[in-house]
Amino acid sequence: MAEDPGWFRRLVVVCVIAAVALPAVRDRDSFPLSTYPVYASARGRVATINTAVGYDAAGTMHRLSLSAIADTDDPLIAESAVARAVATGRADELCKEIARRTSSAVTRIEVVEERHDIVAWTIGDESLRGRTVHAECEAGP
Amino acid sequence: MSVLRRVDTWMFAPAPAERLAVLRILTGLVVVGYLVVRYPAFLSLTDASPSRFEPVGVLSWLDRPFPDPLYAVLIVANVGCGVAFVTGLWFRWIGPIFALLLLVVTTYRSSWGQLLYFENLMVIHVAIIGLGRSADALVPGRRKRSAQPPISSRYGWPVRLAAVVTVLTYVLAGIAKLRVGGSDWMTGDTLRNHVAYSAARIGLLGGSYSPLARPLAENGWVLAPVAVATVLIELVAPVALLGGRIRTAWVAATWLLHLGIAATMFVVFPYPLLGVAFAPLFRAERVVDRRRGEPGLRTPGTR
Repeated sequence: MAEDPGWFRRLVVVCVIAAVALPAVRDRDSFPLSTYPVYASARGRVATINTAVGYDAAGTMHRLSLSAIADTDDPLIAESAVARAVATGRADELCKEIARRTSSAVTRIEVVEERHDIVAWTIGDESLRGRTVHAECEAGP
Repeated sequence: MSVLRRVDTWMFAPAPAERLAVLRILTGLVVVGYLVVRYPAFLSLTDASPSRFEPVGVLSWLDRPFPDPLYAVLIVANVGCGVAFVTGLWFRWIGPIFALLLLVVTTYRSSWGQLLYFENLMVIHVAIIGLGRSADALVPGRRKRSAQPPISSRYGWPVRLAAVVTVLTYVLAGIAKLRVGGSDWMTGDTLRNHVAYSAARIGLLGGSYSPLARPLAENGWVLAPVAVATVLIELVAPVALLGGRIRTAWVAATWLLHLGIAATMFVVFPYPLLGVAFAPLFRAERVVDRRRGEPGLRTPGTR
């Protein structure tokens, strides 16, 4: 004769499945219960990416590293950190943080919003469609 | 037999204690490895500006970040409990504590303005396993003292629940693509643009992007059928619960999907890529049965 799992185990099963499915019903993303919207958007060719760049004494632009920009190795976190700083008016604060983390070859930092044709960028063609500087600060010793 | 009754019979089918125990060991090993490898990334949050802190989930009540030493202790304690979790020792306490610590540590990591999606399924699986009777077998020294536990639904239902959660997360991801992206996600250049965006984002933020991004951006037509396949794989995930070849085919397709994401976008989902996310869909005890030279126990839906 099959053993009866009892009402408690059945209730646990129903509650866990409902909890995992609920974010999709409520359209509310969180952690660890999520709507799993990663890569869900219908992305177009032109995108805005927030980043930070450095300039040396000769005025040549240098791309900074992920660790210099946001003290991370994850581009998702780095992009989010810069975008949040720009959106909340803390770009100057972030600029100074980046300046403390950059090498001595760089003398000036810019926190920027760049608009690119991302397919053109990936192929190596001219891609820049717009650029806004949100903060600028001195770097180096 | 009514549908509800069939579902109930499937969910609470008896299983050997080893099935749940193997799942405990596999999940525990992956989590401990993940926490150790990503320790610098977790710990780097102690240097993050408090202004970035936006608590989510179970930590949404916090009004400021943890003190740095507390967070470091939580991570180390999580690793320590993870080792005990793998062994199965003191599991009545260690199971729930490990699950709770993992929930707190990973929720904290997602509380800095960017929800991360690499850890969701892992955290839910650990909660299910940690609260189940997952250490009634494959515990050092235990066999000498007690007899082999009989097969029982108490070992089967947490595995089945973990399997349902796995497929459900993929269904939700498929629904999200249709809801947010619409049919354009499958019919347009969306996937090519996602690959290009990942490359551009990493490049503009000073990182190294996939060498596959450029040829794929140049030949976007290659990705058009992949986009359709991606959404289909996600939406039909429940077929994996049927077991047999259809399950194996779905798991293989989903694993290849993750491999493709890792290769083209440099976005690594370690839990499915290492295969552990799919372990509840199989008779995981066969790993130990093979070592002992015994055939695995077959229960409905686990052919």
